[in-house]
Amino acid sequence: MTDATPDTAGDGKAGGVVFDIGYQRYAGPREGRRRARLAVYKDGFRKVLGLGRGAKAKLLPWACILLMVGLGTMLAVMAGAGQRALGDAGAEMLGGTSHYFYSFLAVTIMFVFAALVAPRLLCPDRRNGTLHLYLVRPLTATDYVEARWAAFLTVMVLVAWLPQCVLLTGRVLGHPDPVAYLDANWTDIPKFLLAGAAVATMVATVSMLASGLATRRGYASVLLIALYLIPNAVTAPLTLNEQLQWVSVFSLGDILREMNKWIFNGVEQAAATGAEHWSAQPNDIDIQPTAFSPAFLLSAYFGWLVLPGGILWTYYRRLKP
Amino acid sequence: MTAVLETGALMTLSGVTKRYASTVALDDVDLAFAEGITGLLGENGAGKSTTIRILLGLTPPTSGSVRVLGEDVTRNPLVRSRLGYMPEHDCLPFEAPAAEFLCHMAEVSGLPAARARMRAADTLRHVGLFEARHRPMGTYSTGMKQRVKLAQALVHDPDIVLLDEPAAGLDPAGRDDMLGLVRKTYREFGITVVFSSHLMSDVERTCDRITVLEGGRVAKSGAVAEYTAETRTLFIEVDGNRDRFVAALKARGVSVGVGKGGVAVQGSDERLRDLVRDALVEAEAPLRRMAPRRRELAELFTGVAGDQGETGETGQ
Repeated sequence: MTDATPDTAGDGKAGGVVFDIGYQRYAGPREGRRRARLAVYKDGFRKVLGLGRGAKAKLLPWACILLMVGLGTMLAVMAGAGQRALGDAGAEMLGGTSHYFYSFLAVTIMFVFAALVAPRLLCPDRRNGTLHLYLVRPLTATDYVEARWAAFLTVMVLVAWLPQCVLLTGRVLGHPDPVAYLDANWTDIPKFLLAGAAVATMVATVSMLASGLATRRGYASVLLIALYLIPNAVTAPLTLNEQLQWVSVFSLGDILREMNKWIFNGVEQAAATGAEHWSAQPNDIDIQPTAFSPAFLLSAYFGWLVLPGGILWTYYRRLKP
Repeated sequence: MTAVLETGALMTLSGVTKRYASTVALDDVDLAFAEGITGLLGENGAGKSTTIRILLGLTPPTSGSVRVLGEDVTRNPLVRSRLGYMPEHDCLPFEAPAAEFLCHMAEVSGLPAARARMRAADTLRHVGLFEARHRPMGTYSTGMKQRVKLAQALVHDPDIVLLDEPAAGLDPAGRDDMLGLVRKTYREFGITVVFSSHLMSDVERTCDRITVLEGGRVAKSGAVAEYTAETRTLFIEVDGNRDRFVAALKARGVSVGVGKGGVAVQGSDERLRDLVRDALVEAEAPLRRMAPRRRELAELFTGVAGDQGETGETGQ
């Protein structure tokens, strides 16, 4: 069937003609699971940040991101101003502007961010029944949940790193000799990248589990906040007893803060061994060494990754729409 | 290119049994779905949804084998890139515009992004939603949502599309439109349709073949025309004096069934027609219509014999 519609512009030039050539079979490439996973990943990334949606969808994620970047900027300004106004001695007093200090603060903010946006990734698809439509395509349930997790992890890592990069920029530019500063403190970069990735990975995994188990976004948010706060409230008094320090592995916040200490503590050790550039900029002088051995700490950390990740993976593998 | 099994069927279930705990959803079912529009009929719990789920590879059968386009769909999810599915229940994200959602679904089916965008726009045009494609789906009417559900099943140009109660919840006009789209899906788009419904009139109007499931077993399977063939019953409508007409027929020894619409008499030969003519004359009943009665699919369920005529009194 051909339905021709002349479309002349009335300006003397030949107009276009629209032909309805009917339904056309698709003869192009079909890229299978790889394309399917990529599509779910891209969609997840957009959902978390509210891209392509109205202002309401953007409000919460971008407010959190701005808060974190703002905090990084504030610390950067404080560090730069302290250095310029008071010199090295004054800068030493501003130890609270360090990458470690930001990492310490960011753990809680990242949990809040995750509680607000992670449920967008899994809850609506289950609640609206859209999950059925994914599972009847060349995609398994585990492909789906892995792609969603990867999308959220990407956002979390970027959110963890961006303020640290701002802080680094501020500290470098605030120093009278930026090159000397970088030469002396370049190890901060892999440390804050590693610490950010560690926090992002765990928060992303735990929050995806909470989102996977709840059908309503509100329930998932509450569940995640509870997972963060309740163990912390229980373990905090217990850890006052030195013999019971180990119970803090049950607290998500504590385990992440211990990981931060462990990752950043190298800086302190450098100071202790008298590295020559150490005093060039305010640094992580207040980092207490972690109470745990690296093996114990890493086991606890990976336990917190593997257990929720495994539950989520198993749950979706067995999920039948 | 559509893969056709050796038997000529696109999808087959061979000796398929599906048990859920103590419930047997499908019991040793052998079925083959060929090109065209096949209606899957049955009451709630007959096994329609389980059949569709097994064909989609969402549920493995307890025993038996399933082949879809020549592949074992439970082991090869890639086959699903050649299948489309329209569920009965809600499945649309209300905040997303239809064009964006369809584009995403096409990509999830394996189409590259640029092609997916083109297919989404084309498919929405074919289901009559081109103008509304940028509106959030939460603002759509029920009929429009059903169209989007059909469109998402077609957007990746599958070889087979499985529709679960596609006209559910629609008003008569919307139902006509949707059934028209289902017919168009095969007749114009060339996509084989398996159409599950509990409404026989929908299946009768739309399908080429039917499979009737009853308690997890195949009760009947064949061409719709077979089941709606002319019966040996003559259906007569008169414009008045119906009771006198019925009495005149009975007086002539004709077996009569009386229903709301008219009178059904057993037989269709010349002698019977002469008797009817005489009875009409005697009763002075003006004839409006006289024709051999066709079976209705409903009779497959109610067990009413096609030759028995309408419900109502019968007598010699």
